[in-house]
Amino acid sequence: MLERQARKTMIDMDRDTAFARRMLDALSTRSKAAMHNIANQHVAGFKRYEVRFEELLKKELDKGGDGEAVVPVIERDTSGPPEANNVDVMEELTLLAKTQLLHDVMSRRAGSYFATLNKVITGR
Amino acid sequence: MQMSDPMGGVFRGFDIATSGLRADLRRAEIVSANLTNMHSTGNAQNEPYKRKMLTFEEVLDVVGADGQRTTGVEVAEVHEDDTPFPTFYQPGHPDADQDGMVMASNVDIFQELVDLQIAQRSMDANLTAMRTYRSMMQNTIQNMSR
Repeated sequence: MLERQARKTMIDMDRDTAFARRMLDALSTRSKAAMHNIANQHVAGFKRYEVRFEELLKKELDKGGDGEAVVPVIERDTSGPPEANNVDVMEELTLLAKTQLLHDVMSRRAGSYFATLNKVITGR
Repeated sequence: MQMSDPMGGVFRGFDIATSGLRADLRRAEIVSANLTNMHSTGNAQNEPYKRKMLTFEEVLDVVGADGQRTTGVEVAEVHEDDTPFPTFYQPGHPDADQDGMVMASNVDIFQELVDLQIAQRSMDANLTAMRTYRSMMQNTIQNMSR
């Protein structure tokens, strides 16, 4: 019964936090992939990695699913000639900076949930 | 619940950037070895200094002997440059042959300076990545403890 009641609230904190957690997972994997690409910028024939999550989630939601089963996917970007390295350092650094910002937003979101819990428990 | 992070734990990020920095440092070391030996001479019997070159290779989630997993980059091999040695005419030189020709090392100083610059840029990129990653982690700790 309590659970049903909780689902009626305007902001579903648990669901929001779960989403933030999944986003944080995807973003930290993405940042590591970007760092891996930067470290391998001089390896002959290296193909960069990319981490896809948001688009997969959106596709699933557009199809009408709840998107609970969507996980971040690490993929190799095989563009460019087979023997050529396709890492663009500037691009990777930009991606890393964007990922950092989004990670900050998501960790704030997750953190605010616990801050609210704290407030409820302690009353101040 | 399973954590979906095939790239490893929180500290893996630092290790990746460190491997990049280490590889770049090796590259800079090779450049300085080349520059140090660029004036060595030789002849047909006794070869002058051969320019050294590096190749890098990707390391992806390799489990080492100590059970530690590593990801990043490492130096694959140190090659010798097989470009023919340039010769110059200087009879009386200890390394001169009967025609007075001396073999010089095949190090090209400008090539080395360019390589050094590339190593430095690459190091900058790895350092920037590491700094970004660190502040990302620091912000997470701060945001979670507010």
